[in-house]
Amino acid sequence: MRRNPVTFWLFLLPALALYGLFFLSPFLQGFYYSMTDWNGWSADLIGTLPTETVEETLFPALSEAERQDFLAYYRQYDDDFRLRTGIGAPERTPGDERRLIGYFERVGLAGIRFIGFDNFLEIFTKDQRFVTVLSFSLWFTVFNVIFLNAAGLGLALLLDRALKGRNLFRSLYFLPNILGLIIVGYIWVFVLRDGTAALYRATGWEWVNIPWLTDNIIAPWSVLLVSVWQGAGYIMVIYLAGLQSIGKDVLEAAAIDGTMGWRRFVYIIFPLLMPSVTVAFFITITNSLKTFEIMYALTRGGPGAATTSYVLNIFTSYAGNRFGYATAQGILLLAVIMVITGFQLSVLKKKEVEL
Amino acid sequence: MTVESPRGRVLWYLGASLLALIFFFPLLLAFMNLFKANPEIVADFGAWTRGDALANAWTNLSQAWIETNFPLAFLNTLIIAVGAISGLVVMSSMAAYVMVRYNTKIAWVLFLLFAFAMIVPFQAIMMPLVRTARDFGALSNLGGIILIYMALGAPFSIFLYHGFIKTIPLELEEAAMIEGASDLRIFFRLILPLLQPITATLIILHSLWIWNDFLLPLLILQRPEVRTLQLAVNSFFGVFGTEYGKALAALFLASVPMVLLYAFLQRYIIRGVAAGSIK
Repeated sequence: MRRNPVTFWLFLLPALALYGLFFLSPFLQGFYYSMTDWNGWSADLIGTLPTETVEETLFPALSEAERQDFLAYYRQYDDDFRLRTGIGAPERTPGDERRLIGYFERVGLAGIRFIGFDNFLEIFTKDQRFVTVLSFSLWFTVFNVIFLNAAGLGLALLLDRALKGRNLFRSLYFLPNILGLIIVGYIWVFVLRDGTAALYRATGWEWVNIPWLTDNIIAPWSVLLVSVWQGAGYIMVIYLAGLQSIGKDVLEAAAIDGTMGWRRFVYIIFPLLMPSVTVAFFITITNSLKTFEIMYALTRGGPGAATTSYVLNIFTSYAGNRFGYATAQGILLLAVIMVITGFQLSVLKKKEVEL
Repeated sequence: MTVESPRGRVLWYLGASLLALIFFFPLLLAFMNLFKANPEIVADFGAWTRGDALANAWTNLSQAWIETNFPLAFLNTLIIAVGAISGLVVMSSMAAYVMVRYNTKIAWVLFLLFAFAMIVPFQAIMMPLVRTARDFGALSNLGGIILIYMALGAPFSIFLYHGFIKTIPLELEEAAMIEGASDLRIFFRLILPLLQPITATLIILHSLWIWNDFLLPLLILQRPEVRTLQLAVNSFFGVFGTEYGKALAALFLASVPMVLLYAFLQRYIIRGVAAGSIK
């Protein structure tokens, strides 16, 4: 084929440009920011933070007139306020911008300082909350991976037969994947909070009359329940594709040898399914480590930090205006994911058999 | 595949239906309460309404429709999804194509660079990304978030296209070259149509991702006028925490577009998910 460097770079240009601008550059910057006390209060990020943080950190240091001045410019970014009142705010000029930075500087909030590995030191030695978050995340990952794969494989085995209606059932089991996790989470808030209360009134069953979302022992299991309910259908599709790629001749040969039922599953089907197991484990492990929306919608991470996943905690640090600290946790997550998935892929890949 | 006895068949249908009920029941329960007035929902979540079901549903839905500004949120989400996905398809297939066909060291290094991004969690780049977006005027900007989705979706898309293009024989391109067709013409007229199966898979996977994404829009789209459906639903829960009827109606409205699409295309969507995971 002819080689034209102009074509090569021309075809690559859009992808490379966007990749460089919105992935590689933030990724590299992340290493730097993880070693700073960047708190997000430089003026270019006004409006990216929740109202509560403004009220708690900044307001005590301002006079009443300054507070009104700040609000007038801040409010244009505040969705809730605007939604409630329909009031917008005047556009900001560079002069306004400088005045606003001044407010932040007064409370020592503006500016970015290099602090070396302090963020990482804090994560490992001082942050009590981080211990809770990490242990919950690992607990969640282990059980989520086990239950999702068990449920997914179970559903796939159930549907892997030539009976009418199997496609309909497959579609129904997959349905929760179509809805956003935020939507799924809020629907389950109603089910677990109000639905169970109604069920208890109707039946008197004590076991449904428990604080599903507000008890620090029960809430993690509720989060797990919703996660498995939502994700099982996806894993089912992966295992179903794997089961259907197993040749009929292999199964027929097994039947002639008299290998049926449980023995057939353990000695014939499961080994041939290993490529799907590798994929399903890879997907479930990385997704479990990165779960955010379900906890955000169901419990907001509570009670306390009992259901705060690793990523929800990053988001909380972000919302609490500790951008540098949040970035350090993000970099650490990358390391954790690389180690765990690298280990998992090398172990499971070895177990795959070729026919 | 096993041949079933009649008894096994009955058991199978019973089991499968019971499971379907487990998957469907929470959605049904939420849907049922759409037809109730707020006090009724608070009083008993499990009961059917004693009032006028349709009037209640109309009140809930119309209020949610207005207060989430549903048409605008729907349109925003649609613009983002269509813009980002069509951009991704063209951009990624072009990039993957030259990286396969120009079998040089640079091409290989670039491919590895793209592939690397697939294991980096979004949260590791989240904060600097918001800052970059701000610097380039991409905050609260539909065009901006489209470009960011294209950047974040490129690695996986390129990876899938790369694997697929390797299986396309060279002969067709060579014939076209001899006839004097330009590189651009060869790509858009000859190659892109051949990529259709993998393009369909990508469109499906990216639609599920972008349509239902929450965190990136939450960070990037801060003004109400650019809100997506997921953000609209979420803000609803912040502001109207106790107005259950309206909140359920908002959840319902936000789910309808995807559920409708799924009703018509479920076979392709499931096939796309399976194809995307095998690669």
